[in-house]
Amino acid sequence: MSNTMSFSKQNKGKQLKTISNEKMKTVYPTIEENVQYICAALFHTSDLKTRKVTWKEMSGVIIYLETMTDTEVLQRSFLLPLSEAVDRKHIEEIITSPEFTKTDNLNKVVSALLKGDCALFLNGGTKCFLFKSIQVNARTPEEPENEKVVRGAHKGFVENLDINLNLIRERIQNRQLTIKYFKLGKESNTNVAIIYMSELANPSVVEEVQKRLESISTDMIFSPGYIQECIEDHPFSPFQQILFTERPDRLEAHLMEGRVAIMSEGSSDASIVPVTFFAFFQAPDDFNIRFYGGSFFRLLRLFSFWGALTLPSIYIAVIGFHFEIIPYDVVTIVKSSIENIPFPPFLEAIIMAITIELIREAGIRLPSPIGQTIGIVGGLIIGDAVVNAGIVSNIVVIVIALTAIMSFSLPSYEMGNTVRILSLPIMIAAATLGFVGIVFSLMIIIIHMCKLQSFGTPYIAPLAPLHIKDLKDAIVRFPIWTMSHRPKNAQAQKSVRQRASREWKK
Amino acid sequence: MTYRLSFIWAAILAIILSGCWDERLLKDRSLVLSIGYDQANDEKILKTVTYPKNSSEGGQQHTSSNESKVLSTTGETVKDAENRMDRILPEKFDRSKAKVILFGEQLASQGVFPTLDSIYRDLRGPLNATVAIIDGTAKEALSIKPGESILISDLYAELLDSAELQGLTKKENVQTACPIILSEGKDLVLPYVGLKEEEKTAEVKGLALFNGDQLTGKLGLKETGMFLILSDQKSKGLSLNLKVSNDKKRHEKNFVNIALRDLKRKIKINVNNGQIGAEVSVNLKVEIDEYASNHLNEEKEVKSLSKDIEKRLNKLAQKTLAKMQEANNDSLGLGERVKAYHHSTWKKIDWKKEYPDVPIETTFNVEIVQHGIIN
Repeated sequence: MSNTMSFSKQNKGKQLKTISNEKMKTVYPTIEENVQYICAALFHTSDLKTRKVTWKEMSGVIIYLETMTDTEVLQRSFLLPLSEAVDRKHIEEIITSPEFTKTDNLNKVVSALLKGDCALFLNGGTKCFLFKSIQVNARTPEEPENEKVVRGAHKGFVENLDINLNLIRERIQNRQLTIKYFKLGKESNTNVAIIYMSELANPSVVEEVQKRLESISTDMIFSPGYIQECIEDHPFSPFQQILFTERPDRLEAHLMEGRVAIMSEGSSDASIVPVTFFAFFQAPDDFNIRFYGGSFFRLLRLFSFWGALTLPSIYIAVIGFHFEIIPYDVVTIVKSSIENIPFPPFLEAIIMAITIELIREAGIRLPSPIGQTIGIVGGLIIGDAVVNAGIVSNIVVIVIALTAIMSFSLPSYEMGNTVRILSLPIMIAAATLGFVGIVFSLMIIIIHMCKLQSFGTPYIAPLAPLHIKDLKDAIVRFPIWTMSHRPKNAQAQKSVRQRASREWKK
Repeated sequence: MTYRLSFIWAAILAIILSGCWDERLLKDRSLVLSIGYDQANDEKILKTVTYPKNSSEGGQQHTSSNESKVLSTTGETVKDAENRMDRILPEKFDRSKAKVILFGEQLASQGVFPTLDSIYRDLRGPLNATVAIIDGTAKEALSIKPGESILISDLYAELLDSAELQGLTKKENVQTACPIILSEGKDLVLPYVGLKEEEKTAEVKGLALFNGDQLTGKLGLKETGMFLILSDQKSKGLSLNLKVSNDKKRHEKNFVNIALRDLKRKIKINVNNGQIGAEVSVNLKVEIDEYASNHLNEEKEVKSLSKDIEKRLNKLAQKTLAKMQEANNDSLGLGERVKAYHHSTWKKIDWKKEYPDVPIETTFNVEIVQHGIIN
């Protein structure tokens, strides 16, 4: 303990060696010195390649990281034109790459090389020419696995920020769409973008997002979860206050309501703030089917949330405390089902719940053919065997299976996890106090939800504080032409979204 | 944060370590589904219960067992008998899901309220249980072995349910019986069930009439139907078979079967110089279900038939009311009306003494609204 303490103390204040862009290092007059400096700056990494070129009897060298550059692009944008260039006067005319800069700062050159640029030094030159030659390895923007829809767009974000921003720009062709870049991660230098509609998004929210992003000082931004944990209002809450999505259409809808999105290089998730509890229950599908269906399925999801939260605990409370509320015709069935079970209902439910969680966890990691096998083995065989062996009753199996299905029916994976985790303490409360315990724990949960905020927006916004107009798109989905105002919880600058869209019907 | 953590710990420990855990596990209880009370000799109470048999064949059952076990004990009081029962039963006795409560006739004539007392005091008493009176003893009634895999409690519960739907009886449960027993101007009626020993089943025999909480008389099935009409029970399925003539050769042709469509009843209480009289007028809309002697395709015939029916109904009503007055059973709630509309008179008299001699006039007005498809 004392060892590690002293170790961390020693390291405190000691700057790790990184190349920062501020430091100025002018270009050396000779090529060799330049190349040497860059090699040293990149710690003599083996993928740093150089190639000698000559132009008008002037010798030069191009330096690039071969792991970052696309040799095709290199050829097309520089080498080929160079070989044909006999009468060109300037080097600028030769380089056909659209992105082309000159710099006299060697440290800038190093950063550019890391971004996949290629640097050209000419002998005796005072400038270094940089042009883009990055190799983009992105998958096609296909539909995300975890946010499938039946109708509607089947595109999804990929791991490349430029492509993602392109997908958004494609959908919103509006001059207001603003993108601001940040560099996060002291060591990984990840590009992070915040995206918003300038005249819709509330400037104070944008400012707050910027402020929180700039305060992040972690050494790497590995996933949206990193950013989320750093900028969330209530990191200890079981409820997520930032919505993740991999769907451009969903992001578009949220941007147009005046929300702010954060995307980072290398992850296909966009984080949307400020969101409310009900945003986790909206699926793009709702808007692609008739509003009766949309409303019904949304209500079903809200019901599933509470069902998944309380169903196992209701079972425990009923079997362990208040079995007189079981209807007459069912009571004999239940009684004969649990007659010979050795465990109290709480243990039964815990055993089955943990089994289901294990099956889920195992199924995620395994390749899909084996994953399906696990599902069948786990679901059918274990379920059947465990009932036949008389370890748990078949009613528990039904209850826990229903709970799992309910939690999987939520459109947000995070909310599903939240529900399954939260149902455990409620089960304990139900096992100790019966219905009283369930009521107490639900009260605590709802009080907690009322206290939550997401970037200044109350978490269960249209309900508390009550704003009846916004319930049109929170609990049910009204027809699109009735939603003439943006929801208040997005804190948009302009609230009117549309005038009458059906005035043809007089 | 530390403050919050310590608070959470304190809360958890307070719950866990308090040592008072009022868990009632369903699997540790014997669910008594029907209870019978009888008068045992030397004033004791004989309590009979049935509970579903545990299907303890290891592993799981796909269906619930349909066999009941019957158990009887005697005790000084109901609770005493129950405590004795707990000594015999492998699991704890639990009556909160009882479906039917049966009283033997002998005990019922002593009064049912003291027996039900423990249920009214119990937080988990089976207030929904249907109460019925058995012609004979409740023990016999619960001991019959119904063949077609039906629990004995279900047998009685469904029998009484369907009987009420068909307009044969009036169902009361423990909760609804209590205020009627305790009220001054109204009396209780309970379904009266008899046993058909040879067929191992039970049949509804009519209504048992109570005076206060004591069984004092009975009504047959026809009179029960009339009682339901007089007491304005909206029993849609009620059908009555009436003999409207004696001179037809074929036996069937003497009868008419009517089914109730709609009924309006008015009760008027007249008080003249302390003399109380009651008028019950009933407007009936009926449907002819069976009338073999006539096609009824002429207005005149329909009119005359309805007159006949009115006469018959009047006779039946008088007979019914005579029986009720004999039993001193005021289940029409005439007393309540006297109390409400003629309070000064009510204060002067003792209704229980007056009621058997109160003249009750009945007038029926029958309108035949349907007489079949073809005719």
